[in-house]
Amino acid sequence: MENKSVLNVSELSIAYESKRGDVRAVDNVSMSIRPHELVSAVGESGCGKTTLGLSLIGLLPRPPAKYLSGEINFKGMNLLSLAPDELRLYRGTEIAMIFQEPMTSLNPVFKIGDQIQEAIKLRSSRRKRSETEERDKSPLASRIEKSDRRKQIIDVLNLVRIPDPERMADRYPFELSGGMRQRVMIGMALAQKPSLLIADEPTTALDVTTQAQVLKLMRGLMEEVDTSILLITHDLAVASQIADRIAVMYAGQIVEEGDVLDLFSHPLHPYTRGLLACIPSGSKEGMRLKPIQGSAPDLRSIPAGCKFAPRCPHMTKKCEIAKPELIVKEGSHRVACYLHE
Amino acid sequence: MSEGLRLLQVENLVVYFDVGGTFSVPLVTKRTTYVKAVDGVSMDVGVGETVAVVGESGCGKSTLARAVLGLVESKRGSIRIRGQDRAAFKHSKDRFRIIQMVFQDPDSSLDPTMKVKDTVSEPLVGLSSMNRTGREKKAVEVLNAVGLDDEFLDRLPRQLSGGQKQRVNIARAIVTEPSLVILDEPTSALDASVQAQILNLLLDLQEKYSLSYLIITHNISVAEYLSDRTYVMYAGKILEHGPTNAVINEPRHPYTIALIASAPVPDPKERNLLKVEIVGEVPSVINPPPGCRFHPRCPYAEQKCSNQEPILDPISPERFAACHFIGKTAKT
Repeated sequence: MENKSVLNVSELSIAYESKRGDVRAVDNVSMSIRPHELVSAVGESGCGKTTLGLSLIGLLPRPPAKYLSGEINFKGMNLLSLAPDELRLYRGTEIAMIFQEPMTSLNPVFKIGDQIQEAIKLRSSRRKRSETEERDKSPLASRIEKSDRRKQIIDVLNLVRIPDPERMADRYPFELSGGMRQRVMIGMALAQKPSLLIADEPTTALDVTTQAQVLKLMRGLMEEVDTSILLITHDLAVASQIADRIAVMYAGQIVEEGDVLDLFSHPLHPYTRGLLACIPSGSKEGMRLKPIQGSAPDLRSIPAGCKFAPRCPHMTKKCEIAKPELIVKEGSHRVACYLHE
Repeated sequence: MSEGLRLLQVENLVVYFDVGGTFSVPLVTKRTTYVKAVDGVSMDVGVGETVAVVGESGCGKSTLARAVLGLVESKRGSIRIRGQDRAAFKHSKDRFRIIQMVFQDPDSSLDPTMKVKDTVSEPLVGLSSMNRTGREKKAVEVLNAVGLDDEFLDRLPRQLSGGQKQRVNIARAIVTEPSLVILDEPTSALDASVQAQILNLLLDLQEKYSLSYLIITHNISVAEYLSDRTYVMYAGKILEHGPTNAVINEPRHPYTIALIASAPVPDPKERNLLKVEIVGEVPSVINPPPGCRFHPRCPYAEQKCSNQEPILDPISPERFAACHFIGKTAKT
């Protein structure tokens, strides 16, 4: 079971240094992603989901970030034990990432095709240097002949279903719509056929009709490119639509994790239930929404007990004293709450 | 719908932005280039009613709101408030008692150097015979109504959370007890749990102060939760409107159908999103497609759609849609 995972994070804690004390952004997070699995980390702003994503690909600025404990095992290799040079061999080739704002991720003064070309060139040279040559199943990753370059660019654009790739390759980012830019980013990320794609709010900046197309594309490409995806999002509805498994995060911790069907049919943690009750559905004549009271805690001074206790309708004395552990409830459904001991 | 005086009546409103400077080449392009943000929009809001305008980015919904408020000049068309032309109120202080607006970004719409109580009482200055203490008393009353107690009075915006800032924005909008409050994406910048708090607050305030709302949003479920009637906008035009329940549960215009199908439902058993078949993206409003503006993406489009623009026709009482082939989209 453990060996089969592409990624295995165990007891990872990350803090940011600040003048007013450390901010513990990721607190004792354990999770795993299996091949061909789409896992979604869902939570509100400040819950640590982006920090978690950046840590997996080694993009956290250190300082101010610092790893307090834990391991990130990617295919049996602890990424936290690697030197920056060694980590670079994984970044972009074995693990890739796409971000929320596709405009700021592309260089505005270079043509789309040139940027794709650069990504392929850099990363395939990394792959050659790396010892994992046996994973060389990608035709894109093999030695680049000059005459093949154009074809590679077109292949990437075709992969993400960009219409008229020959012309698109010669366009600049400003000439593309938001949805097309995000497609280009996905294409660049998947060009090396990574085993894991981290997608941090990939459709948040897009319109709903475009979002639907991009999510459908991502889900479809998982099979085609043979990759797993960690989808970071604030939107439970989006996660419910495409994820296999969901990890709900609150104040740096995973409070509940499970198969998407289990989690939505039997949400166990009061926070998950609260989040679901916050999504408007139907009209005001029906049922009023039942919002979660209060707001997220200051991560500089975390309460000793459960972090959700001050907002929880089921809080007891016990919740204030000690932090509940993430325990397996049934099957693979895990929850950190005393209600379900 | 036409009987009685509507609180707000917009007719054939046209708002163009001149972008000639950026796109024209002297001596080659003689015509000025316009962004046709709002291109012939008619809509109305009744007393005590909540009306939603939904659409994707660039459809002109915010420009429509800003034109109603007078923040942008319209090129053609009329905006009447209780039957009177909006221009009549232009230099009257009464306009602050008629329409107020809450903006999307709760942060940038507050003065970072002003205390909460000053921000909220400022719209009252010069409006009434109230003195300073009177204004402050009113501000405190409204702040309490939006769920902020006295400890917030002397705070600065940076000492507030996003949800609290939006509460201050709402308090500032309703302190003059306006008839109509325009809410431009009031919860888009907020987290889910805070969004729910604000949506409920808006409903409570509507009851308490008998407000009418014009809500501008891209979020179908927010429109469904708050509004009585919904207008669907696309590339500067209204494509469909009617009672919210009917528009959302039985959309008839092909664009409305696609828009609602693309909105993710929080239910993994109903994976609608992966079945969505809409293609392409929102067109440029500088050079919009001829005929029906949705035709390049429409599964029902025929020759007629690309050269003849459909008008808003009634499809049932109170329901209107602009489509040549509306008969094809009915549920069988």
